[in-house]
Amino acid sequence: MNKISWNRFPVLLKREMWESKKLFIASPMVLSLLLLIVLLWVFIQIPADIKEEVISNMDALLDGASTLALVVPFMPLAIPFMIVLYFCSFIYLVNALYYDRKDGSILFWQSMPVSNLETVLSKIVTVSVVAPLITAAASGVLTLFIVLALSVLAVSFNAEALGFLTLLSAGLYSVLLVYLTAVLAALWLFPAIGWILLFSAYARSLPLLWALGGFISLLFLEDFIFGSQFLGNWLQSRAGGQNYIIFSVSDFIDRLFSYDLLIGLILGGLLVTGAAYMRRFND
Amino acid sequence: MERIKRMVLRSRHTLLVTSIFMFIALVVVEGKVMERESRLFSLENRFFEFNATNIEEFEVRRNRDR
Repeated sequence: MNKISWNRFPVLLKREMWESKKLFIASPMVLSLLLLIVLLWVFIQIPADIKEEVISNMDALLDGASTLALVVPFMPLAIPFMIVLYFCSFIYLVNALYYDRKDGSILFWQSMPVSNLETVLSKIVTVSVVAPLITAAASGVLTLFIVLALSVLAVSFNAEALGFLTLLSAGLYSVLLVYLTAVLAALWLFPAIGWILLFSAYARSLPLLWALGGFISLLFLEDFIFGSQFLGNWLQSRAGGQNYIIFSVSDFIDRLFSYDLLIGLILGGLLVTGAAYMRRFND
Repeated sequence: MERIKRMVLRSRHTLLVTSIFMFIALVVVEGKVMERESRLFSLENRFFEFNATNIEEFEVRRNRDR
């Protein structure tokens, strides 16, 4: 029942992207377009003397700086994209295993040669690998625009440190880091993904309320019955963004094989297995 | 083993309870093994200080400040 066929997997991912194109394709693209318009407007509005001052200051600041130093200023550009990605992923996960039960299409999908585990895994890969790729690409468009704008300004004001190729390589490296950060965040928050999927597969209605309410109730019950706060501590230890925001590829590899991430994967795996088995029970 | 599996998969509710129980058991055991400190809710800044492990001290300080 729960066998995986890797040949079918890309088709399942296509299905997920097709069904959630508004969440994972349209949202980052629209955000990118909006930010481009805002940046273009700002670029036009700023007087030439201020532009020259900014460029000369940047030129002095970045003269002789390493690529990493050039990458860091590009990273904050991805913040709105990451917020949108988290928001869309949350909505997607809450409804991922709920809507096909609600509209009855689960019966069709279960008549296909696709196991429940494959279906659940395709949703996890969509949210942790494919969606971050589109988000990184959308933030890359914005980064490219800024690289072009800065290069044009640098040429017009004779700023030598801000070369096009230097800026371009820094911009592309920042896009790669944004992607790796998003993937690492998904892996780090894998228990949360498993938790939401479990309740998405379980709830007959209001899966969001079940998922949030269930966790809050457990926090309260643990404290009330045992007087301990292991669950709360564990949540607190995983909540900080400093755990998955990275500034180099080696940083990514270090965290990928860290104990905390691996134990999170085991815990999340447990919940995901529960979600896959939960698909047996149709409403 | 087969019997346990059948029991767990008897209904959606038993499966949910088992999954959550195993999740919590693993979190608690891991917390015990790694000696994670069992911290309680605490707030600390220069205007306000609160630690739920020591409610009495909070009340004493509040009465003293009145």
